[in-house]
Amino acid sequence: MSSKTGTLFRKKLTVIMYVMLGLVVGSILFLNHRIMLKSQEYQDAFMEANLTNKALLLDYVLKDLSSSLEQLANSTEVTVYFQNVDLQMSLEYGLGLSIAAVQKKLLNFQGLKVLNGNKIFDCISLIDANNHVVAHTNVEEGFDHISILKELLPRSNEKLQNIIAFDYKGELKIALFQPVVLKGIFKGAVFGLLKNQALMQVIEKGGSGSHLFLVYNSLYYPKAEGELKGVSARESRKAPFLIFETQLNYFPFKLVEWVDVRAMRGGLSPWAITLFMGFLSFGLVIAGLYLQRVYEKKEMVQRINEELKEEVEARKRAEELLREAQEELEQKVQERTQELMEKNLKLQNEIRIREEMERQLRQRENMYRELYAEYDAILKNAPEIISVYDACGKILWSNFHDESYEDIFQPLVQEYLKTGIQAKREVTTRDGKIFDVSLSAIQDENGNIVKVLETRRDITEKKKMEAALSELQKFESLATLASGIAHDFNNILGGIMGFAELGLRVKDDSKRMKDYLEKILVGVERGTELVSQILTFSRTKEKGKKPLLLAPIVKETFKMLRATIPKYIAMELSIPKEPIKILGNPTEIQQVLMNLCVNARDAVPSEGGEIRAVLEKDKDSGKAILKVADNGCGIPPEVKDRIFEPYFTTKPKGKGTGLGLSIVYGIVKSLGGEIEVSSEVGKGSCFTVLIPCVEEFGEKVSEEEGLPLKKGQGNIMVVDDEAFMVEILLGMLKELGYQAKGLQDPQEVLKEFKREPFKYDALITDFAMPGMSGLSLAREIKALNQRLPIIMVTGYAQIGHEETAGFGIFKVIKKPVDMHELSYVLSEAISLKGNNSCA
Amino acid sequence: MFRIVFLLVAFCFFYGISELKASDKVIRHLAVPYAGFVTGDGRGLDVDLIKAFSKVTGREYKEVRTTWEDWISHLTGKKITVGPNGPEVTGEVSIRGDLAAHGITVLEWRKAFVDFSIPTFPTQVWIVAKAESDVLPISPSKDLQREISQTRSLLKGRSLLGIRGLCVDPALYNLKETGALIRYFEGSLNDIAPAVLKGEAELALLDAPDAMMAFEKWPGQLKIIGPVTEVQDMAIAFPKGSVGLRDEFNMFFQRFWESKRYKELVMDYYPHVLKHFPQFFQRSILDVK
Repeated sequence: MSSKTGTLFRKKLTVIMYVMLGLVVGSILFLNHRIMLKSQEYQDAFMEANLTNKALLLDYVLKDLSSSLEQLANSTEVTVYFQNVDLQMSLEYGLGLSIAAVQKKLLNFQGLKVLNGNKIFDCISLIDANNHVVAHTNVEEGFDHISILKELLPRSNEKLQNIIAFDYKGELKIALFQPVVLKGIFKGAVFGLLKNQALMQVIEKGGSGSHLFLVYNSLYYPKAEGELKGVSARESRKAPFLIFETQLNYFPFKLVEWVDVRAMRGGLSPWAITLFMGFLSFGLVIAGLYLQRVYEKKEMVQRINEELKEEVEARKRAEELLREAQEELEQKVQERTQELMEKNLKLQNEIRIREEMERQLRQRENMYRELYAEYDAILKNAPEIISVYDACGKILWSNFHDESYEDIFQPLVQEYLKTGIQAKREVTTRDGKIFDVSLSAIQDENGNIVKVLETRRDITEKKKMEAALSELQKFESLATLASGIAHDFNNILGGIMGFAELGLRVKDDSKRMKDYLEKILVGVERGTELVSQILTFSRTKEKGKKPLLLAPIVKETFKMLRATIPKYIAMELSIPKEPIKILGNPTEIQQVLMNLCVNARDAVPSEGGEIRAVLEKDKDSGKAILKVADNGCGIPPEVKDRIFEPYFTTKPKGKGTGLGLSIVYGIVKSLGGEIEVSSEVGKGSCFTVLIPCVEEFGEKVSEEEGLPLKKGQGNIMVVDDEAFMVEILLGMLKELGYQAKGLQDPQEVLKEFKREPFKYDALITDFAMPGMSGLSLAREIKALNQRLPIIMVTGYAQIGHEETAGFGIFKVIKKPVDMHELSYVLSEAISLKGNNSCA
Repeated sequence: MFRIVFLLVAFCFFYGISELKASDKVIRHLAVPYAGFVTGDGRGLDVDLIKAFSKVTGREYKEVRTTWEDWISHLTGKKITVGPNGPEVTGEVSIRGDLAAHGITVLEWRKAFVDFSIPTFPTQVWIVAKAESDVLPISPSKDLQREISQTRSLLKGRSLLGIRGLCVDPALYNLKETGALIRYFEGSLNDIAPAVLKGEAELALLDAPDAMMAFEKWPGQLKIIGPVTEVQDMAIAFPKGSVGLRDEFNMFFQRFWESKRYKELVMDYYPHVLKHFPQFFQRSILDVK
């Protein structure tokens, strides 16, 4: 297509476009005119709707006020007033108070009812059914509301209207009423005169050129100036003003609004506006087209420039990205190369270390093999039996395999695994072997026992040695006393012999004879006592603990020591008067005191030596204190800590066993006591023994001492191979009131009992008899008469209750028999037998 | 002459008969507007009770208004005047009612003139004062005698308002000996509480039902100081000799009580009385004396 044809086509197109534009603008102008006319119609409708809304608002306000007035009419104060009237209360008292309350209520009500800051009620009154005003609020001066109310007020509840409007001096006045009805009976009414101005302020929000009126019949508020013609809005488009009106829904009022047309719609007609707008639109379209063409050209150039610029920028960015990627790649290659080199180096180091470790491991393995072989040999040759048990108590390894003791040691391990406590340290086997057993747990990292290591040492020989040495030490002490004992015995025997000879010479004087015999008896008792001491001291089995008075034992032992220790050594004993009672064993106390005194004897010098013993009671701690002090050579500090160790001695060889002080230490500890030593070289030593005291004695024998003989009745059988013992016992039993029969042969006794098992009430038997021992006899007789009490008499010190426990022996009495003891034992035995038979 | 005398006697006889018959058909209720018993507008606890009684017994109900001064006179036909020396018969008046019911407290001196039904309502005489009064109420305890003693001890030197001849007569309770300055109120019983509020006296005697009403009407303005009597009874009064009507009422009241309707009636007029006198209303069966 040529340029000329193109230009022609463009011109034709332009003309067509202009024609079309003209048509469009014309249409727009026509439509605009139509819209303006419609707009006027809408404006009228809006005004009408606005007025309707105001009417609705006024309706609502009036209804609300009416409702409030109803609440006032039903208030307590108003109700109480009428109740009090019915109760015939006087104006002076009840009614007066009620009226005052009502008055206050009305004033409050008036003050509370406010619209836009203005009081809505001019006046509020309460009127009774007889048209009497009960109470009212202040009223406008000159406004005789009472007379008006009397005319307006309906006479009954049914006819009462809620609102009344009336003409007061040409002005519209509005009043609200609410009846007061109590229990269905009309009592009066509450009257509220509305303030029109306040009411209208609620709805009066029109623009300039607008006036709003509240109309009731022909009465207007505010007062209308001149006559307002009722022209409807639709008919008054050309009129200088428009009037809109609407009726209230619930109250007999109309709202009328007068609007100035010029103020509302302006001075120009719709056609003038359309024409002006048409010209203006045409001009604007032409100008717009021109400007658009210029703008399009400029925009096209600018767009091409921008596209070129963007292309250049994109190319630059791509180049930059390529460069960055290349740099990054090069850096990564470098880093990876470096990393590989480092790893290679590290690997080489590790290989070297591992080779070194393997070499060391081989070395250690060889060493451990050697060590293991060595330890295995050591363990297998060790004097102790070492065993390893698993967590179930099953033996894993032992250097000495002997199944015969498994039933003894395996339960010990089992218990240790269960409780974690080793039940006993020393274990005696069936064959009399004594083992010192030590169990220790092997734990894993969580503290769980995985294995148990048992170390067992045979200490049978050691124990025997210790016992033998202890005995040896005791005899060593006894040997020390031997000369003293011999001296005492000589004295006693001399006395007995002397009094016996004197007794033989006396023939007729029975009183003197009795006196000599009693003295002989005292000598015998002293001898018996001494023998008892020696026997007690020679016992190998320890007696149990019993409550005992410390002073007599200390005194007696000290007395023996005094006889033993050379006279050039001064000895002094201090004993308190008050009894000191402890729980212990007399032999042990004697052994303690003797060992301490013998040590003191050996320590003091041959001239001027002193041994001082003190017995006292510490009232604060309640402990007995036995102190043995000397002025001897003292104990060097370097050996002071070792003096209580077994076998430790500073004496020359053969002079001591080294067990004396260790035995003292053991005895004191077994009594729950302590021993302290203070010593200074060249000045002497002091051993202080502290033993806990007890308050009361439990031993019955102690209580019985000093009591008279306990006589009784019964038939007693006595058996002893010694005829004089049978005679003595029969004599004593007779003296005690019993019938008794004495035999020397136990077989005869058994025969007697087989014949008549229940003839005798008790049997007194010797322990050792030829043919049959006392214990065998007791067993045989118990088979015949289970309840028969059997009392055993013996000269053996070691025979006690423990030794005779399984044979049904009631009591063991030591020879020589004490009549006093015999009387109590026999009495108790027979009474118990009686109780048992009753039971 | 004889005829005239005969006619006169016959007239009087037939008049009495007709009056008696009328009494069978109508119950004339002597009533004084008082508290919630006779509210003055044709209602009230006693009004409703006697109306129910009339309806049940097939009689017409008629309320006859009287006063506290005259109700015994109008019931008995004897003019009773209560002076400083107590009640005395000063003349005769016409009988206007068959029974009297307006919250009448059973008092010993009244028993001399009228018969009472079984108790219909509990009461007690309390001392009331203005809320601002410096007389402080007693501390309640479970011992009524102690409370009465405490109340009496507070009266010394205080002016005390009461009404002669009624249950609030200070003389009935020897209140003069407490040192109280006794003032006799000339107004009605209903006006005693307002009189205290007005400042006529510092204290006043008020019976419990009246006090309950007063507290509802003037809330926060009055306070109870404490009781001066034990719990008393209110009952319906009948003329001496009107035993049949009284027994009829007693039977009716028993059924009325057992049907719980009486309790409902009480709740209408005195909703708080059950709280004050629970024992009275807990009884299920009434004792007919």
